Amino acid sequence: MKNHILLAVAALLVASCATSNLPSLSPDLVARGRADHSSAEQLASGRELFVTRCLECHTLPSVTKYTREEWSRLVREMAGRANLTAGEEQSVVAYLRAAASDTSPSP
Amino acid sequence: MKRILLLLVLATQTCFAGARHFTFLYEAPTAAPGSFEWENYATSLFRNSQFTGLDFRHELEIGVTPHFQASIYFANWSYDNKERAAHYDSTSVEGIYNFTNPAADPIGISLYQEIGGGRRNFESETKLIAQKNFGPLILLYNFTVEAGWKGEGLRERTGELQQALGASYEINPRVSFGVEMLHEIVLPDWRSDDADTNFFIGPNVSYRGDRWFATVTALKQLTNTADEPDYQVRLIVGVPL
Repeated sequence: MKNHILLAVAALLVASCATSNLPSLSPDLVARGRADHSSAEQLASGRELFVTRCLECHTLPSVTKYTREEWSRLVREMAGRANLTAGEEQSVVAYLRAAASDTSPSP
Repeated sequence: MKRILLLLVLATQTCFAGARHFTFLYEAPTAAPGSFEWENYATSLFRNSQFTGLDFRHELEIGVTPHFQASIYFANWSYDNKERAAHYDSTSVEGIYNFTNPAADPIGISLYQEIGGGRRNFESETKLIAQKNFGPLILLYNFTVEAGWKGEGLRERTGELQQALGASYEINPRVSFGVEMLHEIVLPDWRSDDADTNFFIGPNVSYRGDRWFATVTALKQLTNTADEPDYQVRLIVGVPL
């Protein structure tokens, strides 16, 4: 029984370190952002805002759950409730578009 | 002056300080800076299958910085069904500082401090909040230390240690279901030899609308403490200002 509890705690700790649905600013992600006219600073700010402001009301969906265009619409719809300024909204959209499932930028 | 007031109202009219998934536990994320929210708490108490009373709290929550929020509880009061009378209890202030994020960091940690007082009472409540999000699942732990002074000259001392565990699962961004568990050790006069141990458990459900949220929890006492309710149901409704 004790071993099972220890195993469960260990599994929880390992799982808690996994943040796979929140991609970090890898060179690939920054390159995709640049191709979409977004700077690395804007992407970093967007990631920080995504993990703090969106979390105040609901858990965070995987960034690959929606397409680039869907993310733009969703963030626009919720920006008011998250108290995002226009600049902050752009940063969140920039990060999510760079991390989204359809990674090639729109023409 | 009127223009400034109008601008302030317009600037804050769509801000939402944050929705709650739990009613007896506090979550680690803090409110967005510049946001204001009005939260009302109502807790119904039942003992021996009888409705015994209601506890109310009315809170203004303010996002101060990206990691700090402050609250004012204007009135904590109760209605006693036996006496058919309402009693004002206290007014309090609260601050929560968030250190780490429950989604981006290995664990989300916040510290909570509340102090309050009434005509013949003074209370301090300190809380460690630990939270981890796994996709739509929220796991939450609160450890609370309460100290109170009441009566003539505030000579009567009370204390409480509380551990609380919660889990909540979002079936979509608007709706979540979960469970809350409380383990309390009540220390009359801060002495452990007179301590009472209470254990409560029950389900919760939360709905987040466009301009409001509501969360309700029903707890059952699993111990046999006569001074504590057998059942309690808490509802929190929040609206942005």
